Amino acid sequence: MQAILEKASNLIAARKKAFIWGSIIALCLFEIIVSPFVHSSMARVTEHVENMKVIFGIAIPFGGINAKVLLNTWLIMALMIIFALIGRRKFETFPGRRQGMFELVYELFYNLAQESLGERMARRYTPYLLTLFFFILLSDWVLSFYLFPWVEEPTISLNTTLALGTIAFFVSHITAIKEKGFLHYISHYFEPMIEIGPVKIPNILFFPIHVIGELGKVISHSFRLFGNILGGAIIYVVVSALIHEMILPPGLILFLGIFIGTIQAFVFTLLALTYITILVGPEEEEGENHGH
Amino acid sequence: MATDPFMAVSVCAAAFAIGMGAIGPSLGIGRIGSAALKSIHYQPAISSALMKNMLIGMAVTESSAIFALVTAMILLFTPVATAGWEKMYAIAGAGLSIGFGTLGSGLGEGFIASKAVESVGRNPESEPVITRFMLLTQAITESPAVFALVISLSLLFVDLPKSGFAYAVSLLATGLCMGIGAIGPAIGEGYAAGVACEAVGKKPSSFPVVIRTLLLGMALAESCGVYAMVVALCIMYFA
Repeated sequence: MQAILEKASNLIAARKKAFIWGSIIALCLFEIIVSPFVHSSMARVTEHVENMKVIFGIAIPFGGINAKVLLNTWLIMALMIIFALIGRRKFETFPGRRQGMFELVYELFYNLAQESLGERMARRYTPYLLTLFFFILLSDWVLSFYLFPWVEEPTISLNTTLALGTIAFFVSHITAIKEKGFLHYISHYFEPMIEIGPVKIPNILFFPIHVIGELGKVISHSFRLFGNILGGAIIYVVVSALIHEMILPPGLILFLGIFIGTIQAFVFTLLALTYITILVGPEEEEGENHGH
Repeated sequence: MATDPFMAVSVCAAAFAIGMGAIGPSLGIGRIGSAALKSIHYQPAISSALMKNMLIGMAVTESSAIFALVTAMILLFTPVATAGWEKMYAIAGAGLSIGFGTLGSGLGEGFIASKAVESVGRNPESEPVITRFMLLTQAITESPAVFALVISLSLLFVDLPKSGFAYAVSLLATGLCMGIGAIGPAIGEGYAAGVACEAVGKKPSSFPVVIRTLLLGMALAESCGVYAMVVALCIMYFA
């Protein structure tokens, strides 16, 4: 019996490995064959740089629309909606493969949120975290379809990442106000308090430090994602142009786009969760019995 | 084109940006590798988990170097400016800012990941908690390099509000201010988070308490980096 189980698991492992390697090699071969016919040159770098000039120089005063980024955002929204519709087709008590996969991902973020926020709030904020994670993840993975000239990641534009960062900022602060009450929330800005006997005086000196810290958090949150994704795209375009799109581009896409994109998506979501956790404050009264 | 002074300054700035900018991350990544090798020597059975953590930590530390590389490529391959003293000094300032800025982040993140890998080697069951902790703290330690990147890109692409030689030199000062100002906070945050990573590795149940205290301390250390960025922006816009 043991021998049969072992042989079965070996077979499954071998098949999994063959599947993964086969798909990677197929993807690379496909992109190698098609790449000489693809328009990818220095013009793309200049285009990205022009894009940044528009954002930083605020040349288009509120009336301009970045059509490419907007269309790609819609594309990713459509992908996410299709994904979600597939996921909720039929709920069974004993999940099959499809439902099991979705439950796996949901549980990953639900456990993270539950450890930090407690059960009630975790249930409310897991959908937000999942949406954030999948938006950034899919927007990096869509880079694999770089052969279509109008497809690129929406996070390549500072607008998208700043928007995501601002959303995370507002979610964390409004959650804190809702959970802790406005006074308790404001008192956090005056910590550490000066204590004279039993009286605690708010420490005005620390107020600007905390405010600047909060603003710095938003900036670093958005710019980290922006820098990584845009950086990856520029490196990819420049290196491909230098080597005339020979063998290397699919490997670059794999590392820069998919690997780093996944890590950055996870880091972004984890940080959004952590900002909520810090602002909402200690959860000891929720009965965290992790053993002291 | 060879006698174009803007190309000359761009090339020098790009060289400084990636030349200086590669120091910190590569030192950090080397440290991660050595910690991973030491842990694999002590615990060969879990070498795959150790390698996984090592690669993830290395990839995140690498992103600081990617920031420097991207700035260098923008400086080399695109015509950033064609006229004005100020733009020339702004280009030099951008190179200085990102060149110095990635030093601290690379070292700090490398320290964190090396401690994380050692902790996984010592206590393999707490590997998920440690990996999460490592990613979180590495992302926060990255912030000073991100600020340096922001200042670099602003210097390159923003329409400058003033003109004149004094303003041109002040743009150089902007880059220098942010660049050197980003070194310290990142190293400090990295050291704190690395020691905290060790603590969480020894006792994973203390994760919530440790992370709360650590993030408070790291926020204070980061505020120094934010001061540098605020002063840099003030020099650029208000001085």
